[in-house]
Amino acid sequence: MRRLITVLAIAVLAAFACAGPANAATGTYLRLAHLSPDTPDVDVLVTSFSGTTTRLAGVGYGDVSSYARIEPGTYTVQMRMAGAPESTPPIVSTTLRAQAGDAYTAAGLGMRDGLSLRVLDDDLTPPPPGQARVRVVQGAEQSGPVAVRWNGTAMAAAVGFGDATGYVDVPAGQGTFDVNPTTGDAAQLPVSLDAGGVYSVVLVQRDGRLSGEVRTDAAGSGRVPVGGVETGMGGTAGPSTGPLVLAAAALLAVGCGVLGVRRRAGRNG
Amino acid sequence: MTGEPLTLDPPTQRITAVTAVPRLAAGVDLIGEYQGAGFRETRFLAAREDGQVVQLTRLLFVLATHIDGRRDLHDLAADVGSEYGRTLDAFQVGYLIDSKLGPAGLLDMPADAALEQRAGDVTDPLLALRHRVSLVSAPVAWRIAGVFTGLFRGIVPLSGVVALLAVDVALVVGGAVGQVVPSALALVDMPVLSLLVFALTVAAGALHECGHVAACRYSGARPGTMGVGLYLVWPAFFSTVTDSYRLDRRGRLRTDLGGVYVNALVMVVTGLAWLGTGAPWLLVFVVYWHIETLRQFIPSVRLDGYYILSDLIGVPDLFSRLFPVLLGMLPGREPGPRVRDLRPRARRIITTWVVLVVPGLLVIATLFVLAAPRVLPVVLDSAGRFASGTADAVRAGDVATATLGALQTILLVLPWIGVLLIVTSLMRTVRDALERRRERQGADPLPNPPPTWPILGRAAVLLAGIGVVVQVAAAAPSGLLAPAAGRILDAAYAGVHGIVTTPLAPTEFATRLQVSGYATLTDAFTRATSVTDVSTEVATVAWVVLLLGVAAAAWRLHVPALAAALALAVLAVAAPAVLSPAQAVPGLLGAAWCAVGGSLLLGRGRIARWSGIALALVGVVTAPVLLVPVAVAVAAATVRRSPWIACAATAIGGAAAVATAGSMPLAPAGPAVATPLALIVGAAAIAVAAAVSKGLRGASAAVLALVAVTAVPGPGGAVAGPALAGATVLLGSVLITVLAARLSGLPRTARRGAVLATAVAAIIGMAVTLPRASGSDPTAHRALALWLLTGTDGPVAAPPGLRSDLIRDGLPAGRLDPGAPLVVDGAGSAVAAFGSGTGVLRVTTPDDPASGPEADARRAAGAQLDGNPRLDAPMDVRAALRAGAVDSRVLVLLAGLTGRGGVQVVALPAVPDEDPALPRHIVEIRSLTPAGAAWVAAQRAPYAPDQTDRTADGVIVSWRVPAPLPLLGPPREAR
Repeated sequence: MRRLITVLAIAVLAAFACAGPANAATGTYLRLAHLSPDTPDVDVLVTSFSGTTTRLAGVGYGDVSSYARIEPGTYTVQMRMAGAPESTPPIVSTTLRAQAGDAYTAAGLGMRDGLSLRVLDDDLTPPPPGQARVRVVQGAEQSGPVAVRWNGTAMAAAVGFGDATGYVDVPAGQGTFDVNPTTGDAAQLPVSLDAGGVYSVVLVQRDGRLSGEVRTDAAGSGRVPVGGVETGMGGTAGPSTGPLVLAAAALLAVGCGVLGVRRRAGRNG
Repeated sequence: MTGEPLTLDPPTQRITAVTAVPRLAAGVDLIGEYQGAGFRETRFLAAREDGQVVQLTRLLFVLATHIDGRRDLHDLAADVGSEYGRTLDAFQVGYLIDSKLGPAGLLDMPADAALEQRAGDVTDPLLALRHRVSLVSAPVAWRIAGVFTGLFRGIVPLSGVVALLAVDVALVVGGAVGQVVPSALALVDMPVLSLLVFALTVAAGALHECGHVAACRYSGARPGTMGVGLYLVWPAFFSTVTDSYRLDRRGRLRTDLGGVYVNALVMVVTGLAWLGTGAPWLLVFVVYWHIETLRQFIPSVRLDGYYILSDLIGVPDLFSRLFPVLLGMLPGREPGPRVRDLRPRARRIITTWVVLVVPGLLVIATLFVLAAPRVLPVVLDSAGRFASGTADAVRAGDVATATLGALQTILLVLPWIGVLLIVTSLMRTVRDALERRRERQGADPLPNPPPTWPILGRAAVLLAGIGVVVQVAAAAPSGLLAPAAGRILDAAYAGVHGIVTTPLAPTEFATRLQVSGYATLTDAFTRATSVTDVSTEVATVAWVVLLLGVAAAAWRLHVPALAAALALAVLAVAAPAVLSPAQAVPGLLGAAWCAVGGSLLLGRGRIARWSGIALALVGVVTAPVLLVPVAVAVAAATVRRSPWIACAATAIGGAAAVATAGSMPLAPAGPAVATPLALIVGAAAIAVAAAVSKGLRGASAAVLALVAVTAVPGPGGAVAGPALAGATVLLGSVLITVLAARLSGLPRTARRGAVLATAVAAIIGMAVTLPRASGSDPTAHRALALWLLTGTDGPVAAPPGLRSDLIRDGLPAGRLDPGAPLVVDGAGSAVAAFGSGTGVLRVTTPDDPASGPEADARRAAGAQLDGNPRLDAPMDVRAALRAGAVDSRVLVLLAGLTGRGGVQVVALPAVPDEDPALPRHIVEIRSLTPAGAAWVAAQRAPYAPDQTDRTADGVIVSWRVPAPLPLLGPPREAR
C-alpha cells in the first residue's frame, strides 16, 4: 500500500512536471523565461496564495522553461540570484493572477538595473486553418529595436529590448524568420511552422551576436507542448529539430507511464 | 492794608459773560490752606459742587472768599488788596475772575459762557480712573464709612497690624508655603472653589474701599461716591476721597492707608480660617491678597502707593509734574514754573520718582506695543474658547463652570477693552493738542463734532456690531477656503516663507500683501491652529474695521446710536442669508479700507480728509471693483459744488463699471463666491426707499451703483458684497433716522414701545440665527498633515489655502502636486476624513477601493488565502480577506509567509480617520519565525512594508496608502 501511494504521488508530480499534451481550454499553465542579458542565473520562486510553492533553480539567460500546469489563482513570483537564501531581497517580484484555461510566460525582461518581471499572456487558441500564430519576444539588448520578417513578409517592426509583440497569424510551413537589428548583423531563423501552431520567437544575444529561438507555445489544436526548448537557431543555426523533440517528448511520456507500471509491478511482486 | 501795586499779565480777551458782580458757583467750598504742602508758596484749596478740588494761590483764595454776589469789581479790588497787602484795581480783579476763577469752575456764570469755559475745564489727568460707574451715593458711603470707623480708634490699627504679622508667622509655621501649589491645583478641578476665591476677592476689594472711606470720615473729611471702573486694564473698585485734601498730612495718609489696613484685617480673618479649616481655596485667597496688597504700594500708577507718596511730600497729582520735570532735565533748559514752585525736598523726590517711573512705563508700553499684535489674537481665541466652554456648560446645566467660564471670558477681554479705551483717550489728547495748536496759529476753529453717543447707545451699537462679526466669523469655513481666499493665503504664506507659488492675479496682489503683513505682525502663520484660520482672522479684523467705519460714518452723519444699532442688528440677524463667511478676499479688505476712509472724509479738518482719501484709495487698489461705487459717491457729493469733479468721477465710475461687466482686469481671476441675492434685493429696496428723501438721493445712487456691480454675474460682482452690506447699513441707519423723525409726533410711550419691541426682536433674531458651532475639530488640519506624512506616500493634491497649511505642518512642498491621485477635497472615493461638520477634510482617490479590477483581484486572492491551510486567523480577519477589504501588499506578504511555513494573523487594525472602505494596510502577526521575519525584511517595493514594529509576541507590519495600483489586477508588469 505504501508503495502504491508513493508511485501515485510520483506519477502525479511527473504529470505536473511534464505537462503532457493537454488542451489549453481545460488547464492553466505557467512557464518562466530569463531574458535579461546581464543578469546571472537566477532561482525562481512561485508561491500560490493557496499555500503551494514551486522553485526553479539555476535559470540562465535565454532559458525558457516548459509549461507547468498550475491551479487558477493568485501567485507571487520572485527571482533571486541563484543560490541566494530567501532572506535576501529578490531581484524582482511580481504577482500573477492566473485564470482557468489560460497560459502565461513570466519573463524577466530588461537589463539588470531595470529588470522587470512581465507576465505575458500566451494565446493558445488555434489560428485559422493553414496559418500559424507567431509573436516576438526581444531579449537581446545589444541589437536595439529589431524588425522581423517571415519569409520576406514584415511581421513586426521596431521591437525594442524587453518588449514582446502581440501574436500575428502567418502562413504555416517551412520558412525563415529574418531578424534585422538596429545594430549588428542580421540573423535568419529557418524553421518549419505547423499549421495551427502557436510560436514565440525569442531573441537573445550569444557571444555578442544576435540569435533566436522559436518556442512552441501550442502545437496545433491548442495543445500545449511538452518540454523546453524546441527550436534554437541563430544566424548559423542548423535545421529544425522539431520532430526529434516531439519524439523525445513522446518517449518521456511513455517513460513516465512505464515507470508507473514498473512500480506497480514491483509492489505486487 | 495796602502795599506794592500788583502786576499781572494783561488778559488777551475779556469774557463779557462775567457779571460785574461776580458770584461763587453753587456748592463751592473754600476749604482753606493745603496743609503739609511741598510748595514754596502756600496753597489753598476750594472744592466745586462736583467734588473737583481746585488749588488756588493765596491771592485767588482771598479773592474767592470775598466774592459774595454783592460786591462789584471795584469793591472786591479794594477789599482783596487790603487783605492781601497789595494794591489792586478792578481791571486786575476782572482779569483774575476771567482767566483764573471762572475757568476753574468756581463762579456762577451764564449758561453759554459756562459751557464755553467748561469745555476747557474738564480735567483729564494722566493714567487716571476715567471709566467708572458710581454704585454707592455719597450719603450711603458716609453711612458705610461710619460702620468701619471703629477700626481706626485707639490702638485698634496697631493691633490689626500685629495680628497680621502673627497670623503670617502662624501660616508659615503651619506649612502654608508647601500647601500653596497643591491648593491652587485643587482649584483647577473644582470650579466652585475658584468661584469662592473670586467672590472673596470681590468682597475684599469692596472692603478695601470701605477702609478708605472710613479712614476719610474718621479723619474729618467727607467721602464721596463709591463704585467700580476699569483702571487702565484692570477692573477696579473706587472710592472718592477728594475731600481728604482738606485734612492734614496725617489724616490724608490715614485715608490712603485705610484700604490696605482693611486688607490686613481681611487677611487675618481668612488666614485664621485656613488655619482652622485647611480649606485650599482660603489659602489661595490669602496668598493672592498678600500679593494684591503689596501691589497697592506701587507708586508708578494711581494705586494707594502713589497717593501715599503724594501725600508724604505734599504735592497732589504727581503726574501733572511729570512732563515739566522731564523738560527741566533737558540740557540747556530751565525748570518750568511747575517745577520751580516745589520745595527742594519735594523736587528731589519727584525727580527721583520721574526717573524711576518714566523708563518703567516706557518699557512696559514698548513691550506691550511689540507683543500686542501677537498676544491679542491668542487672547481673543482663548476668550472664544472660554465662551464656547461656557455655552457647553450652560447646555449641560453646570452652573459653576458656566459662571466661572463667563467670568474668565470677561476678565480676559476687559484688559483689552481697557487698552482700547487708553488708545482712544490718547488719540483724543493728540487731536485736542492739534486743534489747540491750530487755533494758536490763528486758523478758523473746526466745526464741533457731533454729540457723543450716549453710553447705552454705544453699547447697543457695539453689541449689534459684535453680532455681525460673530455671525460671519462663526460661519467661516474651518476646513477649506474659497478658491480666491485660498490662493491669496497660499501666496501670502509663500511670500513670508520664501516658497515659490502660483502667481496671483494683479487684483489679488494688494490683498496678499495685507495678509502677509498681518501674519508677519501677529506671527499668525506660526500661531494659528491651521493656516487657513489666518484668512478668517484677517477677515474678522476687516469686518471689525468695516463696521467701525460704518458706525463712525453714521455718527458723523448725526445718526442716533439706536438707529445705527438697529441697522446693524438687522444685518446681524440677516447675516446667514446675506453675508458670505469671513475670508480674506479683496472685496472685504477693500470695503474695510473704504469704510474707514469714508468716515474720515466726513470728519473735520484737512488731515482727516486727506487720510480719508488715502484710505479710500487703498481700498480701491485692494478691490478695484469698488472704484464704481466710490466714483458714484464722489460724483453725488460734489455734483453741486464742483460739477467738473462730479463729471470726472462719473466718467471714471462708468469706465470701471464697463470693465467690471466685461470681467476686465478690475475683476479678480478665478471663481468666487457669489454675493447672496438676498443682500442685493434688500440693498436695492433700501436704496429705492431712501431715494424718496431728497437728502438721501446721492447716497442712494452710490448704493444702487454697488447693487448694479454686485448684480453682475461673475467674479467682479462677487467682490462688492461686503461693501454693499456696509453701505446698506449706513444708508439704512440714515433712513431709520429720517423715518423716526417723521414718527416723532407719536406719543412717547408708543415710540418707546416701538424701540423696545424692535430691540427685543433683534436680540431674538440674532439668538435664533446665530450659527451653531459646527463641532469641527480644530486639530483636523494637523491630523491630516500628520497622516499624509506618516501614512501616505507620493504626491498629494490640495486645494488653495490648504497647501500652505500642509507645508506649515511639515509636508514637503515637493509632495504637493495638482495632478496627484491622492486629493484633499477631491471628487473621488474617500480614503480618509479628518474633522467633522462643515470643517471636514476629506481625502479621496480616483480609484474606488471597493470596486474595480484590483478590488476583484483582492477578493479572489483573499478567498484563496482564506482557504490556505497555513493561515491561522480569526473570523473577522478571514471575513475581511474574503470581502477584498485587505490591501494587496498585505495579501502578498501573508501568501509569502504561508509559503515559508505558515503565519498567524492576530488582527488587521484600522487607522483612525481613514475611510472604512479603504483596504486594511496594517497587519498584526504573532509568533513570526526568524526566517519569516528575515523574509519580510527582504521584500522590495512595492511589497516591502513601510514600518515594522515589534510587539510582545509578534510584529505589526504596515504600509502607507494609497497602494500603488494595480498590484494584483492587470496589467501584470512588475517593477
